[in-house]
Amino acid sequence: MAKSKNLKFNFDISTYRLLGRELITDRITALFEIVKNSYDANSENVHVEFYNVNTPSPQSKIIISDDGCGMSYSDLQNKWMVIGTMSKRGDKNRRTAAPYNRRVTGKKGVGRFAVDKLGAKIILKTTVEGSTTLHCLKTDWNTYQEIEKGQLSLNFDANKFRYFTDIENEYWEETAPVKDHGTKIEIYDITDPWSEKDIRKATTELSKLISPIKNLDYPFNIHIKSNEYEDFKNFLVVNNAVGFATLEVDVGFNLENGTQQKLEFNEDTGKLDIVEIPYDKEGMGPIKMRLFYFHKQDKVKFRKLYAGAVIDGVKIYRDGLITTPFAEYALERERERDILGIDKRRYSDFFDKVSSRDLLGFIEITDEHNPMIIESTNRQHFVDNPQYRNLRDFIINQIKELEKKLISLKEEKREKTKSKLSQVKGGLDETDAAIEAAKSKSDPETRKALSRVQRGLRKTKVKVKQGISSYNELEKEKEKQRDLFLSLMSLQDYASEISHVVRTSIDNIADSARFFTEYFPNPKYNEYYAEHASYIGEEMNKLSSAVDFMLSYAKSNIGFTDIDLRVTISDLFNKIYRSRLQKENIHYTVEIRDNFIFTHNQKFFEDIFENLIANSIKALKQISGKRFIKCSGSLQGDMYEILFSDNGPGIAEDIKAKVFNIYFTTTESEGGAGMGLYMVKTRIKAMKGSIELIENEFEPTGATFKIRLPVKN
Amino acid sequence: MKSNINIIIIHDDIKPRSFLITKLEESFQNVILIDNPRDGITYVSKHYSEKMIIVLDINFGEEIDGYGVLEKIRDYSYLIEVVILSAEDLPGTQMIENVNKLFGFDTFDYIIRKPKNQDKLIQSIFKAKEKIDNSISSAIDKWIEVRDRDRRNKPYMIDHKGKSYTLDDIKKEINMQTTEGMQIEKNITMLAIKLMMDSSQKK
Repeated sequence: MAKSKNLKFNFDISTYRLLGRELITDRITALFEIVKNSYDANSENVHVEFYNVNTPSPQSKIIISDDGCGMSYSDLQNKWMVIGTMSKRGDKNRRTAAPYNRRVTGKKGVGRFAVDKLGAKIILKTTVEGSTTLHCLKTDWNTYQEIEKGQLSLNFDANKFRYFTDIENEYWEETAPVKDHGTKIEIYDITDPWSEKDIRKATTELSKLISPIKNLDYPFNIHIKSNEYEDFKNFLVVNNAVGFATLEVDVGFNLENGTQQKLEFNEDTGKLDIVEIPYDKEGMGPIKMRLFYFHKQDKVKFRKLYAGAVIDGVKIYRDGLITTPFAEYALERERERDILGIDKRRYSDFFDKVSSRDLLGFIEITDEHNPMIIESTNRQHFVDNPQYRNLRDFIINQIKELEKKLISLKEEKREKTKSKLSQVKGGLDETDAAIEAAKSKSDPETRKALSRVQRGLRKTKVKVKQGISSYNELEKEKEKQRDLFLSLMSLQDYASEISHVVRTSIDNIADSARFFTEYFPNPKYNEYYAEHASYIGEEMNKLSSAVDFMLSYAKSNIGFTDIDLRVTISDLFNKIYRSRLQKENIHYTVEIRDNFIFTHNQKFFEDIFENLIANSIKALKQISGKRFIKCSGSLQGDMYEILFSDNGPGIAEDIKAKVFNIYFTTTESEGGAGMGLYMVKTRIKAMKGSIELIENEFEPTGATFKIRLPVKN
Repeated sequence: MKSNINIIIIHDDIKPRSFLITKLEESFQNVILIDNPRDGITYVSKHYSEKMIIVLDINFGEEIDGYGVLEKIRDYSYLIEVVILSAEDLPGTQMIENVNKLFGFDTFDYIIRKPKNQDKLIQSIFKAKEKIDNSISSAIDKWIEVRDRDRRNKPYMIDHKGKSYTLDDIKKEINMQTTEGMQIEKNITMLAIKLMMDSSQKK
């Protein structure tokens, strides 16, 4: 040990707290940051060694060493001990020394403050090539923590107290071979235990550090070593996650022409074409993107070969290194954030959507070309600006194109299976005919033998036929399940709407209750009290009808049957409502022309017309002349169209837009709760159809609803 | 004394004699309930130069929703404080989508309609009031408003591009928070700081 020139950190408590604690949220991110520092130091190899970390003890330590450029005494003094100075970060285009020319990835200069997430005592040893001095520095974060506590306490005595900048960190020198270069960080007083699972997770995270898109001119290897876990005795971290993809796409850009490549599914050829589009220089900038889609079997293969590795969606890399929002590590998968909103889309349409669990993606951006894609300072997201939105939309759009391709692949496979089965059947038919022909020309002995063959053949034929029909059945069944699921999805819609109205009613009741508590008795508000009492009554009615509505689902059998529209509507009028309509003096006409049979829940479908009929009866009560209801239906292209009309007083222009809203009613006095047309609308929506008010068929007044339902081929 | 800031409640499911409105009327001269988004926008288009706090619903069951109204409000002024009051309490991601729609529209608060949030709403309105009362732009606004008509319509200043502004123009620019408006506001703040510094140095 030579001269002692102890060093002091050149920053204050608040900066330490901000950078160390708030930016580095967990120890795996901390490890990540330190390894990133090694990358910036032009290292080719980083060794991360864990000793006795399963249960923290005085023998526990973590050592991170690299063969990078290392630091001189002045580096140590002016860079390591000073916080995020612009000296290192100011120049955007700064690259590390030749021949590596790596773009400097550290953005905040927080890497070294990450160290204290791992352990409290650190010994740093560093040397540069051409020097025989090994600079050694010892830091004990415990001392800093005590100060921090002191500064935050109430009876803090500024005169007596030492500041962060007053603390001396022990410095000494050792000798090192002249050719040696690099930095070694030894961490003692380990904070948390590292299980094998933790180390596995850390290696998986570290493997994401380098994008597999970029071919590095100079390698950057991360080695893991543990004296406790067999799997990590000597482990090289690699990112070879992409070898098993079912489908792989690749787009890039051309700077000279100013064009960005983009995937576009071609309906005619069934292929994913790559098209060139000009990119906006002020926009998100040009990007490279690789997407790998894994279907079930390939996922299984992938998992078998790379234990611990996961398929976890699309990530953005800047200059070859992962960006911070994607680098934050979450212990449980469920808590990982869907930063780009890929899975969010599944709310809107569940089928044929690719989830981030089936997708690995690498988006490559650069500081130079994509300066407006900025990681936010809390490291959790990107700064929400038009350019970032642009990028997100681009990625989602590209995934959509990929989905189109996948759907067409599925379709193709189905068709192939079908036509193969038909081919087999055709072949069997031909053979059968050939045998039949041969039989007539053969002697009785041969004929007997041929008949036996023929019997076997015919049995097989029956089986193949059964096979084809059960395949068709299966397809139909799948369709049905899909329909069922869709209507369940819209059930979810209702549930959210119902809770919306329940909440509104409850809040109004609470408001009235509050009114009484605060203002009763007070002669000034005498006339208000009766009003609030009736508010409460009204809201209670609404709540009760909302419960009825929910119950209509609970009671109904969720089963699906084939419904013949003509029969169902005719039965409703002729059997169920006939006497009621006659009593009210209503003449009705039912004209259902084209046949329309579809699969749906009988009760749900009947609800639509029951509500419309009930509304018309109410409306027609208000007129004294002849009363009509007319229901007609016909096929219009690929939609089945139903017109439902009455010649009641009609619906006033100013409320037309609102009639389908929940709780909208004009017949409150007759017990109308505003649920009927809402139910009609939601049930039609569940069938992927639509309903609207159109110009009345009957003159001079009346109401006509147009219902359109999709006809599937 | 009651505040002269107008409280505009654009909501289709709040009763005119509700506790909320009665309570607010104790502290504000004008509490106006508008039960549909179109009339709400019309109101703002006529009164945007007045000080106001808007309590805004999201789901009106009409073509235009609260976000659409907010967009329109911001076409007129950025000095109107807006508190969103909605019964919507959506699953996480959908909520984020909604909050994203608010991005750039500068809302004061987003309150989910629940009985226990009633006080929170009232508090939030009072905080918005504080913000308006204490803002520089509000002070400038007030100063311009007490000038007489003639004075307000005469050119008051000329910018470096040679464009002249009357006091009413300045008021409008500040209300719209245009680049010019914000520059004027900033200059006045800087001037105020300078004057204070000068006077403290003289002492």
